[in-house]
Amino acid sequence: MANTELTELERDVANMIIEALELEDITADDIEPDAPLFGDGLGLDSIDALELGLALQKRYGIRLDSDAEENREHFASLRQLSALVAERRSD
Amino acid sequence: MNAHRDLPPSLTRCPWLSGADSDVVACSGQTMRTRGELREAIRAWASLSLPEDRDVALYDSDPWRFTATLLGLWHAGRRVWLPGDNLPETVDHLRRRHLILLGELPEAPPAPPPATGFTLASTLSPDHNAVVLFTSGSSGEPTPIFRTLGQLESEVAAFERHWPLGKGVVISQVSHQHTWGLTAGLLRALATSHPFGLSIVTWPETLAEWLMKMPVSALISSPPQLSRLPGAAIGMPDHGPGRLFSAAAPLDHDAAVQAERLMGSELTEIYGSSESGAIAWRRPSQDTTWQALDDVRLRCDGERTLLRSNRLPDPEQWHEQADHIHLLQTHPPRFTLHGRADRIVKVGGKRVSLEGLAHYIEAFPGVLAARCLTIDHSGGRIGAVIAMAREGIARDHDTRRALISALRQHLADAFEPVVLPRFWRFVETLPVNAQGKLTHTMARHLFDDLDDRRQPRWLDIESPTPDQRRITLEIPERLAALKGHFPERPIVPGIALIHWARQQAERLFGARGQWRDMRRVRFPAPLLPGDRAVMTLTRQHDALNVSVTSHRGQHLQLRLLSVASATDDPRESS
Repeated sequence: MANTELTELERDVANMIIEALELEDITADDIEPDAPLFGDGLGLDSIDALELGLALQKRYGIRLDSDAEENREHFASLRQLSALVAERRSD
Repeated sequence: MNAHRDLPPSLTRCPWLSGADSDVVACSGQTMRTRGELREAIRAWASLSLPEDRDVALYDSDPWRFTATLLGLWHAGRRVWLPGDNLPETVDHLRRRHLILLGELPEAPPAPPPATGFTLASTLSPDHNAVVLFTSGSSGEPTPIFRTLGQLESEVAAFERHWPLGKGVVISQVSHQHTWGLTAGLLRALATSHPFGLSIVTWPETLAEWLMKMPVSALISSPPQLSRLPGAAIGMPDHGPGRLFSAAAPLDHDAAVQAERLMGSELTEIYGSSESGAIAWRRPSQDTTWQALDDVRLRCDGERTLLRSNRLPDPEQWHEQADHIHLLQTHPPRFTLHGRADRIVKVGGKRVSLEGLAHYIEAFPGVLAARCLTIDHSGGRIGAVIAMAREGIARDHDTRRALISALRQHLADAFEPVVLPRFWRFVETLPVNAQGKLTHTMARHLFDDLDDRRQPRWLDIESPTPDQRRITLEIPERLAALKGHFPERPIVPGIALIHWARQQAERLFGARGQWRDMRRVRFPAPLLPGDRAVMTLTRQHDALNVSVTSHRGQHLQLRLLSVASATDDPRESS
């Protein structure tokens, strides 16, 4: 199902997630912008979180906060993560 | 603040009790906790009255609460079961054993109120049955491993003899619910009166911040964290941790070099197992061989590896170790490691039995057989090969996603997220060799598309007649040929289909370059990402007929003429 709600940036971030984590069977359109990335939603786990941290740095030059709670919020959904990228990107 | 610095490390002498109330015993980037607070919390737990005839199980992800509860229970003479997680299946298992559940387990009681008047014993017995850890047995059912306080102490003491800790906090990146995090991250700090970290430091950014704020004597880590350290950009301070330790899975050389450079500390890797505790060590940036710890003896008996250690139930007996080793030298023992005799693997530091995982998948409706293997992609994730009846197998993107999601749900009750298969291959029958076995190499070939993005997933192959092959294929969503073709609605380009048909004809009929000229090329319906299709190759004496079909219809029809007959019949051109 084509998800027309994704912005260009969200699509870009979604593709970064798919590439970085080598997700099969998932395309950017499958990722609901507000669904949780971890746990029940996309089913990502703690190792994925570390991979995403690396990918964010490589792709957008973003440094994560040292506060684990805040990182959890940034990683809550595609939309939250895209908001972080929009705010802090330095690429 | 470290009253016991000069004494050998000890758990039985309870160093956490002696010293000033104001001593810092644990800290984070923001807060500090004192010995007075710890003593009070231990007293409260030690005084708590719990049913005498039942053991307790403790799962608490918070190091402070975990420590206070564990030590309190030890002072109350208790043996504490430490599950590796608090998933529903694990909780069921603990309930079947009639354990009292504490910490972050369901229906656990809250922390007990202070018990100011309660007196704590100043020593504990080395024979005290301190903890029960779990390891996944070959069937997948967790096997309990019993440890006395003396056994735990022997490991901590061996670490301290080999690598005495300097000043500063012991920071851990690994869970204390497992043996490595428990002894190296927590008990070693307690036994040597070093402060421990108030949280498990998962993020490299948090690590950088803590290193900035306080002296760190040791960082207890494992490959998932160390192999994912970002470059210099996160601002690691000049002074890294005094020492850097990794265990729980092999750390590769490059990751070790990178971690040492970034942290400016020597990295020591420990080899051991839940059953045997710590066995040997190496500097992975420099060595590929292992050296046994000074209180471990090793020998080989044919294929078998035999071990004696104070961490084992009987230090005077030789115990068999599950890993194959090759001894290079006996005194001190140096060896190379050659993988496990059974099929237990580690993903993201979590142990899992590949057989156990496959058996669990086989309980899923419609699954005829399953095999699991590690795939060297995405950090060594697991791939599953699943045989199902044709009707049960997904035929396109949406049905495949739904099937995989249902399988993941099924597994999530019993396995931690990181060990769930990331790559799935569905076949009608498991491919087997001449001996009727599915070898690792054959299974791995089903995942070849991960290494070559130009390829689809090649799955079942049937040979209805000597001159016909029916090959099932699936279009990966990340197939290279889909890029830009077309951005809004990607479809597999016809030229890619023709290319695959030629490759398969050469592979299966062994006639390199023989099929050249194309006739009657038709692409009636587009093939989409996620689609499952069947390519039928039929060989005739001078030509090869190709057809690709799926539930959507026919995607390719083609006649390839052999080189010799290419000019025979011009009427065949389309």
